[in-house]
Amino acid sequence: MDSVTSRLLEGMLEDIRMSLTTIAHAGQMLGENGHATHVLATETAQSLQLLDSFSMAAQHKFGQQQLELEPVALGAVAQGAIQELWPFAEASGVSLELSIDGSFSPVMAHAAGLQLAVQHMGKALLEQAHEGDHLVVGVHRTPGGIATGVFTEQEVIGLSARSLRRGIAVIGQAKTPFASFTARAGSGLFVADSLLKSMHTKLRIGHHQRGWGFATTMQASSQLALL
Amino acid sequence: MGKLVLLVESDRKQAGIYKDFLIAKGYDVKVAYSADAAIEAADSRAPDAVILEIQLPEHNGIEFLYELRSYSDWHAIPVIVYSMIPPERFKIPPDDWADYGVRDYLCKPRSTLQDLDQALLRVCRP
Repeated sequence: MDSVTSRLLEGMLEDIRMSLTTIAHAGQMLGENGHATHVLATETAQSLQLLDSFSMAAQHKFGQQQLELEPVALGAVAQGAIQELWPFAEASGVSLELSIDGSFSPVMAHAAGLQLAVQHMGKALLEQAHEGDHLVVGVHRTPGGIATGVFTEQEVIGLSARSLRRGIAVIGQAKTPFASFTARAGSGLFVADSLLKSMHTKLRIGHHQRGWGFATTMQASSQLALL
Repeated sequence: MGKLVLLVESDRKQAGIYKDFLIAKGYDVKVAYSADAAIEAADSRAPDAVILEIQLPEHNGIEFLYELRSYSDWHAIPVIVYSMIPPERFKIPPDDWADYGVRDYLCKPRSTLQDLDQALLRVCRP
């Protein structure tokens, strides 16, 4: 992307962010009752988070540049993500659970970017979830490192490594690249993958206890473990 | 007469929303659309609290904070930063907020009007 387009994009993102914030707060003045005001709140919040993620990913050339890394506690990331996902889950009648299987050394990551990525994983599963479903925001050890992600025990048709990679490859070219589990463009998953690539990892399909879902795997820093 | 909140906000649509909200909560509200206007307003009647957007035309909110702190009469005025700029991009580190009277920092896209109300109640009841 040339510099003029990049600057225009940043400017547009800011203008849209401002408008959505104004809409969200105006909606809150309409009162707290009613499905419509709740939808207004959750849709604007979702759009704002997507803009934040997109802006961060775009600034780092969608995975081609590294984000600034620091020691990050994955439990804190999972906790932060679940707090942000709560309003969306509540609106859908879906329950959330935090599940941290063990104690883990910090990993080198970008805390805000990683949390946004996990949030997008959660929102992708929430889009296909039904009332009464249960999602788990989990952290657990795998042979490849420490996995963090969002998982469901409910069947998600089309949730596979192949459909994920294919969907990410056709973002912008197909109207619904993840058609098997979302009617939307699924840009959140693409942005999550970009953010994770800027941290030398990626979005993948994983499992946690009895559930399957989206996850990413990172290595604990052996040096940090000694501190 | 309720407690006076000085709302420093350059976006008129947002200013209108926040003013209506705060009045409904029992506060008197004075809106200033720029840092210079905010200083003039504070000079005219010292507020009980300030709600401050950092992104302001000409002089930004940080310059306003510097000016606010330069007057000993205004040292005790609590400031709630309510900004489009996220806290991780705020140039004053959290450890120094108290030096500028900043009691809380809310990022508008990430917070609700109720969050603003709660933050204000912690420093200034109507």
